[in-house]
Amino acid sequence: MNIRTSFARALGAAGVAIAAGMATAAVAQEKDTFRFAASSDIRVIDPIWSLEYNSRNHGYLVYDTLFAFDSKFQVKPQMVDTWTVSDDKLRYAFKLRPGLTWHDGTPVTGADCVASIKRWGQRDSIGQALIAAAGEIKATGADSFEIVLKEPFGHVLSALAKTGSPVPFMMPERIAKTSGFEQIKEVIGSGPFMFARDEWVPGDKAVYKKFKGYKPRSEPSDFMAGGKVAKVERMEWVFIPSAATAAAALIAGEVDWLEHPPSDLLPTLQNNKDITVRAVDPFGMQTMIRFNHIHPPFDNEKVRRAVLQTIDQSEYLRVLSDDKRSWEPCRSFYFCGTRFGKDVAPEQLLFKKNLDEAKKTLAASGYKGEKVVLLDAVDDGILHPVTVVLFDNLKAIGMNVELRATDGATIFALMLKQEPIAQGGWNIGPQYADSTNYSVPFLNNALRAGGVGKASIGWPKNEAIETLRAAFLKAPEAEQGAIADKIQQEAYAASLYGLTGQYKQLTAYRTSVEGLIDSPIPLFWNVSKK
Amino acid sequence: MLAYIVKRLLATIPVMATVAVIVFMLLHLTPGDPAALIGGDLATPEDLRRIREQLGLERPIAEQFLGWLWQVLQGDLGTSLFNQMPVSQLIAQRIEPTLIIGLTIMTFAVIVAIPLGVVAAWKAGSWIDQLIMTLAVIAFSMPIFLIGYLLIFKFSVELKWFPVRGYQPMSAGPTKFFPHIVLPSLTVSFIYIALLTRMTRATVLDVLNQDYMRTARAKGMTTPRILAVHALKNAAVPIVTMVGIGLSSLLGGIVVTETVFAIPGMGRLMIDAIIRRDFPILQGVILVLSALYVLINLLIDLSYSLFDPRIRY
Repeated sequence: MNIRTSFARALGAAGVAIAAGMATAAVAQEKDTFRFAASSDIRVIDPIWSLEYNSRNHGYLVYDTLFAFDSKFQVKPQMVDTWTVSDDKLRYAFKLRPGLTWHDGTPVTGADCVASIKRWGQRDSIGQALIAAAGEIKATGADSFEIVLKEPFGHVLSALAKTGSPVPFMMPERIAKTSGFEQIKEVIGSGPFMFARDEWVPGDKAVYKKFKGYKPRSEPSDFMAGGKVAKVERMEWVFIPSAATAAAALIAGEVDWLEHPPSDLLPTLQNNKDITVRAVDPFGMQTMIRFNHIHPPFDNEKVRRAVLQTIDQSEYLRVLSDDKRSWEPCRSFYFCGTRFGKDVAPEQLLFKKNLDEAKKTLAASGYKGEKVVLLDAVDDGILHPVTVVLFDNLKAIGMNVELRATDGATIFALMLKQEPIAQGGWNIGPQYADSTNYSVPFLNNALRAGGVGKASIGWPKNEAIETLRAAFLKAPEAEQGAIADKIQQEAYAASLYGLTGQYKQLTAYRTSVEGLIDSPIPLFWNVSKK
Repeated sequence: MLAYIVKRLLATIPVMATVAVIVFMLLHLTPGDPAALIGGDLATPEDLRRIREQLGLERPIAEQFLGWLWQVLQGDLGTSLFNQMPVSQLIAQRIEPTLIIGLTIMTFAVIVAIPLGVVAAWKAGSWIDQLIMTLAVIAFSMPIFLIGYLLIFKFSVELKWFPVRGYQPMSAGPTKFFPHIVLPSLTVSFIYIALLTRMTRATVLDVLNQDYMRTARAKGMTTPRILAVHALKNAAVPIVTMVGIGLSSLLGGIVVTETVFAIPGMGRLMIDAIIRRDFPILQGVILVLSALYVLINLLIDLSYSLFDPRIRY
């Protein structure tokens, strides 16, 4: 062996040693750290100011709520210990659990809760209704407060337990006094995790540390209710923009939970013995077709109906996933499987595509071939495939469709434009929502039908629906289901918007993960690693 | 030379001002509204107005521009519309990975490409030259994302030598820092190795045909000495220019690599800001990148005198 060979071997051995050392360092993962690879990052940390899903999900880590829903959609106390309701149902008095503290160590007070409810009420539709119905919301002691109503309001507790953005999270009074239209500067909650602001790299990762002072409820964890026990010391919310890299990181054990694995890599992940693939969200997303009701041709109910007659939901769902277990046709505006999610649609509607019938309806509508602007968010993995199917169907019945294709952020801003298409407006476009708001009649934005200023995008105007929605707010729990059904029937009759199915995005996590809670929202309490 | 440097630095002022005006106007003329993203689909026109007002977007464009310019002149690049962090802090978080990976790529590319280019020029027309040029064409033609995924699959998922994703700063220590920069640097290096190899070959080939090279050979100088001392030094100016341009473009242009390896660098910061219409971030990043671009070009220009004594400033 000459000197050169010896040197090469020594170099090789050193390389292997360094590589092995690096490998150990690279894959070494603390058992107490849980890494969640989310489908997008946390960019706004004020869950009242921002209505983004991720701001809300961040909120559930840091903040706590007064009430919460369990898996049977029953409202359960969370921060509240006891409460009373007067016989006339106009006075709600609440007492907080003993020992609740903010992350800065100060105690949670009734005044904090009052300020938090008022701030949330500036931004949330049911919050606004609650504030309007309330004569007074005031602290009655260090650990108590009350809501006194001027008129009946059948949703006080369920509003305080709501899971859709914005959620009524509790904050210290000095922070909650910030206007709802202005971002808060501090992140001080009373939830099971504390936000580590100094480690936050927007667009990359957000870090949360276990709040040692949190006192979980004694009941077992059940959906959003029960004991929120933080079982890991540190939770890292990481954003990996490439889905393939995210899947590789899960396989390599660098992350513990991948929120939305790419569908083309699902077979690979499913075949890996260290990974579990399943739908954690029991309801998933509903995709839908939204019409612009204030401009022709979709200001005409018959034109809208013609579009609904082109819908075969499985056609729209198949383009989202070829795994039939991850989707189901559903004709309820409130998500099938939820409390109000009954199918009361007219026979065959939405399940049986009938282009001949649709053409006849369109011809009878008086449609004269006006241009229809269809919005296409090309960078959105759900909206774009749905748009492609919709485009084909509109063409098939003879509509003069123009595709306006651009990025999702531009499309979203365009959808808020009320001008006619000659001035850059729009006519039709797909949308999707999760069940947290849309499963509740009053919170389903697409069912708001008060016209411009009192409805969401598309601005439908339908007095019957609005009257029913108002009645729903005042109705006692026993009557709410019947009103919810009537709202659906009116919405079908008015062809308010088109449902294109319910799609459950699969999620993937390491088999070492235990205690994951089934929910539309990724929850991190109760989660541990073997 | 000092006068030249001052003159060049002063010349950057109109360049930066032009960049600032163009970037600001382009952004504000682009469709898309950050208030719409914040307000959600239920936002009324009044809600959107209030959000825009809070973000300072309701003021006339000229007023917004002058306000921003005044901030910049005071050293304040503004605050993100979404996460409320100072733009300078966001850039500080992101500039290290971009700079480190950019410098590693160029260093590696120079170490590999220059000898290859010189050898290819020396053996021009031979099978060695053809092999090197073929490899260069392949390296140049391979999409970066493909190389990245192949490296991740082999070295991170299969062999587990390197982490799949992320970045650890130098302050985290060498055992954490080095593994995170190996694969991203290697991924982008291929294209720069190919470019520099071809550039080196062409310029060295040109120099080798000069009369003074024939003289050097006639004087009995060895081939390695001719190549290293005479040929390479005389071919250095275009190569250094190429290195400078490459480094400048790497600072803002490794978005694909940053995306594939989930590295929080300047490229991703910029793309995220474009998607969100986070105007202050985008304006700040482009301004800083422009300044770096101008600075690197100045350094490259100054370095010419090291290789060519005829160049004097």
